[in-house]
Amino acid sequence: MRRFALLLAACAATLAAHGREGYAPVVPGARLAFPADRGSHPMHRIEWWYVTGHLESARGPLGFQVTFFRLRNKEAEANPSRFAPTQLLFAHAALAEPAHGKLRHDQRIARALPGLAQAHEGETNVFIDDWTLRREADRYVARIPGQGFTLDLALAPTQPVLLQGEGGYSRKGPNRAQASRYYSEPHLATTGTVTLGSERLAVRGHAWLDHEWSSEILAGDAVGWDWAGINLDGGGALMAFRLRDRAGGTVWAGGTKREPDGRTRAFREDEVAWLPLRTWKSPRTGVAYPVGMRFTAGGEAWTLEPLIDDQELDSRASTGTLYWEGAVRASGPGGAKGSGYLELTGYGRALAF
Amino acid sequence: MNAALVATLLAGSLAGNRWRSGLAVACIALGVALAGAVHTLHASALDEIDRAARTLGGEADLQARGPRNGFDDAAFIAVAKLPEVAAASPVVELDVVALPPAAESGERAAGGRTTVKLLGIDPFRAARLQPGFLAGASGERAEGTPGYLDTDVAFLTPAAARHLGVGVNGAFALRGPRGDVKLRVGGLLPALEGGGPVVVVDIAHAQFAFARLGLIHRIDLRLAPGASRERAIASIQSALPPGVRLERPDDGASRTAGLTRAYRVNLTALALMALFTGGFLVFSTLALAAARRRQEFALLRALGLTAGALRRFLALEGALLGLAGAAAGTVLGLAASRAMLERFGHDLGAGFFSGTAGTFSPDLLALAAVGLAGVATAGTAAFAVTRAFDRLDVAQALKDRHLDLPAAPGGWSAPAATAVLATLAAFLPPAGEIPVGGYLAIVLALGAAVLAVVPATQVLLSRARAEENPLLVLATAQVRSLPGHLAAMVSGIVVSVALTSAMAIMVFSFRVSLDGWLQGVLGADFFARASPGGDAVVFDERLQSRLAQVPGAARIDPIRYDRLNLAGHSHPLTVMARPVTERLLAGFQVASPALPPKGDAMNAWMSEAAADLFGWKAGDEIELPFAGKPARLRIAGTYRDYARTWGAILVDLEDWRRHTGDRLANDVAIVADRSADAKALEKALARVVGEVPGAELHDAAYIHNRSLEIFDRTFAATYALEAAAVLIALAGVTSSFAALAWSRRREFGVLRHLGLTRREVLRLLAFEGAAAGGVGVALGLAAGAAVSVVLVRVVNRQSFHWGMEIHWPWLALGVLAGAVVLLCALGAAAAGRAAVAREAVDAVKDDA
Amino acid sequence: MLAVRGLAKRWPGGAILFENLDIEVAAGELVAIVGESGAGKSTLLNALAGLDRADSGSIVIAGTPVDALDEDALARWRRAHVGFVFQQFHLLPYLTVGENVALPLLLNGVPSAARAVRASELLARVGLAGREDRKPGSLSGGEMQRVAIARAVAHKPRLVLADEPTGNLDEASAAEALALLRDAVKGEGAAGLLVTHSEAAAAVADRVLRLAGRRLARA
Repeated sequence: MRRFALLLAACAATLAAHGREGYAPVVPGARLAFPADRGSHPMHRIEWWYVTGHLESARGPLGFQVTFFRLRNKEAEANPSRFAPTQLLFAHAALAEPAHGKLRHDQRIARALPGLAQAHEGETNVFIDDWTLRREADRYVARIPGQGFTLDLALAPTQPVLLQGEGGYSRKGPNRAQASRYYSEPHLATTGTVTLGSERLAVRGHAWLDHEWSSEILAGDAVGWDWAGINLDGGGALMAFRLRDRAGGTVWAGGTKREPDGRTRAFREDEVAWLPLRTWKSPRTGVAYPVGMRFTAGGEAWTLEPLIDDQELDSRASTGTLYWEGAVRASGPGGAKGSGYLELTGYGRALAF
Repeated sequence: MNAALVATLLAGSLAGNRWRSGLAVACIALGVALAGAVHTLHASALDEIDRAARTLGGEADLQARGPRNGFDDAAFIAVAKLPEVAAASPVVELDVVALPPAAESGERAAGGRTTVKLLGIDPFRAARLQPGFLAGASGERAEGTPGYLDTDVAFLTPAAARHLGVGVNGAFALRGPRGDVKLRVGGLLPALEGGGPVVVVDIAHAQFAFARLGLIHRIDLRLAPGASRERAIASIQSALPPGVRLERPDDGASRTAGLTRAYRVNLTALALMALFTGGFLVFSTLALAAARRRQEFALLRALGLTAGALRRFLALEGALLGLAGAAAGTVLGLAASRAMLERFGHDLGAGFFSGTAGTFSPDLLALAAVGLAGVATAGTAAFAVTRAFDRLDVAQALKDRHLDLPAAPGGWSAPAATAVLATLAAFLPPAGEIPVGGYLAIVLALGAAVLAVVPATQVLLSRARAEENPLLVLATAQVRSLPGHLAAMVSGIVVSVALTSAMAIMVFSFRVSLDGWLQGVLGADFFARASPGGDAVVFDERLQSRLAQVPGAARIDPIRYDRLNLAGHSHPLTVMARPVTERLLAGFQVASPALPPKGDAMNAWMSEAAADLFGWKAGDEIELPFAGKPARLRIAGTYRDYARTWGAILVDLEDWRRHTGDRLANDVAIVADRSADAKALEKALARVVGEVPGAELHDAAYIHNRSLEIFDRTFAATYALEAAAVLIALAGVTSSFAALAWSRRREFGVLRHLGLTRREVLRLLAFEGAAAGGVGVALGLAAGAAVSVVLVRVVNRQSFHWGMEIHWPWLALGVLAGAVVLLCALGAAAAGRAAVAREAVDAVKDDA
Repeated sequence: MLAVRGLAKRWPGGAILFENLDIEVAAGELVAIVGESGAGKSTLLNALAGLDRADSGSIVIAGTPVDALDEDALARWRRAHVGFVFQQFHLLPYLTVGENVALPLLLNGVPSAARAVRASELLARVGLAGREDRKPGSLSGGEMQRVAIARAVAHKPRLVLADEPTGNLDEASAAEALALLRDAVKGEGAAGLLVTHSEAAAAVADRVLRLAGRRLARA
């Protein structure tokens, strides 16, 4: 679900007020087709491309995330203006360096304008000004010149696409309409440079890409969610999520595990459970996040420990969002290890759906 | 000269001179206050504009600014893509009429509407230059309220919220061409407090709701770090359509400063004239005081005080008067400008700064300079007095208390030479837009008139056959023996009468010329204005044709305006496109109103201001960017335009429409069928015009009267200041007479011993006053006529670029002359009343 | 020529300054009134000139009851019939010596030619022939008083009043001025009244009266 609600917070009333009419629905059973489904789906309400990964550099391990959101604003489609905000684009990038102790992050937000900010159809090619994520031949290229850091990465798939849920149909709530189209590309071999200030670091590592799109609003009693995507050592991939209610209980949950040999298991709602182990309280915002987390998926217990505690993203000044999104190390049954990302949202004030 | 002595002398001086000293201080204070207020109002306004530009522009290095009607918004994408550009923000900028909540809910009071600036922005892009555009940044956004993307939501600067009287979630409306645009306050933008009254909406909504699809007015830009500024500017410029120029965000303030310079200089000149009059008063106050205390000073000299010390004392006295005047004037000026700011904003009565909020920010340097000018004026006057004491014969002075004031030497050579210099100065070219030569000529003309006082009096006296009338004999003997006293008093009258009559002549000439111009220009019966008080609303073609189809309308003339920002010129150029006919050209006072043949280039007529400011000549072929496309124009002639000071160009509407494709109209002039029933026609027209909210329909007479009304209001401040200056000068003259009469009271006592009645003595004084007033008025009117010619032909032409004919306000001048002579006579008699009120017996004994 | 009966004047507070004064002066007669400072000499003189009103009594000059006239009539009467000599001369500084002498004639409407002739004649009589066009400021004190005396009789007044005319003069000038005053009074046939505190000055008069203890008495 990721930062679905980030945008909802930015554009809340627009969406809330105008319901689902006119947006392309998500229906079970439809097959995903590539490369077309790697591109944008502008008729759906919301869509994101989400890259997280772990890198090795001369300065030690680094965690990074690059996200592009697209949001359709049907209300504006009546306005023939070139600037009519019919499609909004939002990008977020963050870099975690244990030695630095806290997150470097930056964001871009723009209405789609040809040549300046667009999410193309047909193939992954999404950009806001000089921030880009696109597919070039057999790999993805991400170029993110942010404030204080620049990411310049090539991400090459080493495995087939992982279709989440039921062949790419991923339920998000008790109502079957509450669902998304969702696929992942785990174990992307990542190379490139990370520039920190004036220091250019050659980096190498692996990443995880999520591409998800939907038109449906979440269950009304959800206030936030927890999500993790882990590249397991040895080639496996593990994804788990849950939606939380106000009391901290689970509204809906799910996940997928793919073994290195390609066997894939999708977890039912009742097969995933989350248990906070350790909280970290932000000295800036006073919000406590369960940065040390345990979850069980299909009977296997996994423990997540963050690369650094302070991976809080405070974008209240620009988009009104506040959450924790961090690089984590995972350890599981039988000494299984992995690295990936944990997302914790809705721990501050409840996000408006 | 020690402090105790100075204090003693000053006490003596002030005790005997309180009334006159007060007047002198008042006059200097008036001049200082006026100049100070003008500068304070102006500095505050410029500061406001500058601050608003900087606040709204945020971190923008450059702004691309197009014509008033906007430019193609595709240019934004081309510019934003350039690698030299780090951030670019497109802006739609309109002056709109806002309807506050009360008016919106049905109670449409005319007074309730107010003009605000509407900014249509892309908040995401604008925030990269000015984060303050995002309301949430300052925590002022109400919880749960929508953002910019909701079409009914606007964000307001605190000033706009105050102007409109709305708070967060409050409703208001803006007048748009498609009807009133209803908006809700989504939040306040406290970080933009300095931006003035601004309503901010999403750019797409602004384009759509205000019928500006495809158009923007501005692009704010920040250059990429490391980009060469020159190269960046060149590549940005090449991505912009013709007619869009790059400037710094703060160029707006300096451009405004340039536009208002002439107006400011003229008001300052008026203030300096008041100071000048004040200087005369200080001079005659000190001189009379010194004359009165001549024996005292002679005694001090006899007791060993040096001439230099005495001079220093007098200079000190003058400086103290100046200082008091400057201090009082500065306080008065600040208070007045503050009050005016609170009441009227920065308008200065001329509409330069309408729409800016009144923030008070005095220019301390200018105030200090003005204050110093006040002190210097008084000091100069004091210095002139001290010259008399260089010649003080101590022994003689101890014996005889009769001392004249220093006066210009008699003879006509000095005034004649000064008059010649004045004439020459009037032909000097202006410096910038400041008619330096004109002002120099005015000062010299006044100087010539003042210098002519003594010789003119001598001529009059030599002609006076007054041998048998005892009062006349005494009066002429008195003035003949004291030419300096006379000159000082008469000079004050000359200067104030000259300035007053000159202003009266100029204003009258302007008014008569304007009246005549309006008659010619208003060649239609009715005028419809789409957007009085703003520029957001226009008449589309459908409405224009509906107006044309109203029964009884013989013809309609749609009028379209645009304002171009031409590179290399600080003045905007107004384009007026309307059907051009010989009749119209004659109305606009084009020298040869015959229509020239149509050629490759559009025929265009330039206003006098355009000729002055852009240096074009009739016959020139020029190229102007009309709606983003270069248009070739041939200047067919010059027309007169009192309505647009900064240069305008008139083209035929058909040419404009063919070139630009723009078929909108700001105004429509409607000529009635000769047989039409005017009342019925007006009603029918009003019904059509009424479909455009806020649009107004007026008949020609209304426009005519309204224009003259505005004219009179603009000059009301001038009239009031002039009246104040004249009254103070007359009070000064009266007080001069009073002082003189007081010093002559023993003489009056003797005359009463010799059998003159009190009434006869007063009649004698009244006659003297009338004689002085008469001489002053005659010379003043002569000088005033000369000054008015300079004002009309040189100052106005060079600073306002208006041509006009001189018209003489005979009646007003006659009343002025009569009033001044009468007031002088009455003033002198009134002043003498105190001197003869005392018993003649005591007067002859009085040794003082 | 001058007949004063029962004249009385009080201080503003009510105290009596003088009372029951009777004075007779014939045409061509010069009478001196002496007394201490503050005795009321000047007040008496002013009352006689009509510049001040007495509290009771009558003043008849050449048959005219002066005290019955209103202020304007008094001024006109004074213009025609009274000449003044002051302690401080009081010549008008902006008039020439000749114009000063002719001033009463001017006020009485005498044509300028006649005025000039009369002024010259009088100036010659006081020993200032040829000084007509000088300004008073250029004269000595004695000369100025001589001009003042000429002015006092220029219009052939019935009454010539002199108030301490020698107060500002040295002994020689004073004597000269007094002689001229006496001659002028006699020559013009006026009634002359000289007020002085100086016994020496009073000596020039035909008669001397002393104002003391509110009463006038022959000295």
